[in-house]
Amino acid sequence: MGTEKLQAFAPDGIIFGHGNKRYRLNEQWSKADVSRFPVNDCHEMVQDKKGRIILLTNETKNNVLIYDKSGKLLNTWGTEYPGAHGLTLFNEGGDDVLFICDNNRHQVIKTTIEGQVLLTLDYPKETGAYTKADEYIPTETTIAPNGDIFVVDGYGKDFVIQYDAQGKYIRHFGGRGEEPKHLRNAHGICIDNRNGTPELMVTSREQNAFKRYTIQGEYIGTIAMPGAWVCRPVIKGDYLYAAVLQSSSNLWKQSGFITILDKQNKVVSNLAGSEPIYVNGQLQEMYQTIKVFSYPHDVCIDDDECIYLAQWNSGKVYPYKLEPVG
Amino acid sequence: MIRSIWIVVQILFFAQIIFAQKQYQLAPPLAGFASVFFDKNTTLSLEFNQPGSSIRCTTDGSEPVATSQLYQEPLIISQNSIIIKAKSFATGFIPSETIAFQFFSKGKPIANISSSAPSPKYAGNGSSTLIDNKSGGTNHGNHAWLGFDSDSVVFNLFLEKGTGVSKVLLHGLNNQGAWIFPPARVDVYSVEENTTLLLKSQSFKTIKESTTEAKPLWIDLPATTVKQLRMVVFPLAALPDWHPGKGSKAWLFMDEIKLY
Repeated sequence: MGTEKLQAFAPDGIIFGHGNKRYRLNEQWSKADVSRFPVNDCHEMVQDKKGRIILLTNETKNNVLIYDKSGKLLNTWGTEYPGAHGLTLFNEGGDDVLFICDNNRHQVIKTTIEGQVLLTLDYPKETGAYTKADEYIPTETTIAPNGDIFVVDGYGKDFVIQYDAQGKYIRHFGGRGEEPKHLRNAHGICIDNRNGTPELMVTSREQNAFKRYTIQGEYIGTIAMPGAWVCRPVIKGDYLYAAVLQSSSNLWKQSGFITILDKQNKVVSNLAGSEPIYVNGQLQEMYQTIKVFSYPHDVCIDDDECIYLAQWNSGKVYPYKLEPVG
Repeated sequence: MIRSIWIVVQILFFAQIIFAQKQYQLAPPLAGFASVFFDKNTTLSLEFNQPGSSIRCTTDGSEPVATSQLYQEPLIISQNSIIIKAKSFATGFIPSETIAFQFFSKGKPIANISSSAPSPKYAGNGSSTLIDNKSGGTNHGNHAWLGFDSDSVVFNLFLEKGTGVSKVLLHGLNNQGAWIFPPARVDVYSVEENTTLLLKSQSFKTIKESTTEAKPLWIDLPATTVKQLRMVVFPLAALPDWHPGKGSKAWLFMDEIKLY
């Protein structure tokens, strides 16, 4: 009994992850005053060109919280985004702009970094696939170097919808179905430039996978992520990082972790998750091992290679920071 | 006196240092098995890929503790309704929550089954879903489950020949947050040519539960030989007062029916 009691206390400075992608956790990163600047679900985070960390929450007292890297709150804005979900930053001719996906408003809103609205995209009638706004619940965007906007309708019909920089519809692809090119819970999207030719990397979360497409929307292949409800793919350097909302083996029980893939899209590290194991080239089912995160929803990797973690439905916690261990 | 106060202060001081450290709980092991329903036997494998950890398990329904059987190799299951419980342990961590699985052996052969129409969204693979030996786990959205939102559900089970039956297993889901409850009542009839005989009418109490779990419901029958059994299952007509959907009809989800 005595030993069991002692075992109940984790050793100091626990390190999460595997191989050369290991991190120390700081749960007290945010210095925001919770009574003045509350958060609800912390959905997504990005870093701007000034090095600031920008958080999007569906708390309409302050939808956007802007921090410095040490966790000091610098500024907040936004009260009109009740369904604030997706946050993407794009450097548009030297200026940072933001794209917000709002689940409740069924819209994508482009703003300046200070929150001034520049463009609003309504539900994509042009596709012919939608009859009303309610059917469209966009979760995430990515912006091509030429300004083309790609939206994933991850809680709606799972299409990827491409617009030009002015918001003119170009095409749509993905959607639901039984073929490999189809998506189920297309929760996130990014442009992957790691191998020379830009490709789209799209989440198919309920299928525990990322799917690759050309910029023109032709399906290339699937990266199986067995057991992992992967959220948005985030590329930094040669690596792809993703928050894993939960483990398939333990659904709706705060079983999330963080996963990291190398340039060959091989999982090299899971933070608070099982060590990635490949048998004959097949990745084995992954799962949470330590209950340190609840429902990870997005990661942001800053210019120091630190990870910031935003969580959904996790007791309104502020983001955590994870610093790499040398 | 002062000395003893000083000792208490010291104890409190050290206790604070210990308690100030963040304690983390382990996640449960990953379980692998084909189905909780088996013909002759089945295999349960467990893994927990975290350095320094171990998996402890029990086969008698008791809660695993640090001194329970150490899991080393897959367990061969052959005993009907056996419950395996498992838990992860590691020095420096709070042990995981317990995971539990109950396995069911092959019952009396059922040649065919018919069923009231399930909700189109949860129609599985038709009525044979209930005799295909596949378990649905806890995700009611998969094809191993049939979901019903009607006032009553009728199952007809056809046996190849007259067979002695003394027990019915209805394997269903309990996910109260998703309005899925065990039934309120089950009536079991023996059907022969033109006669229908009520063998048993059994009511079930609604118990508040927070975990999502597939569970057996047992109905003991007076020993009888039957060629056809009819079951009329009454889902809970009104969700209890403590439930957010109080007064509304509950859902019924079933993945397997067995006769013993």
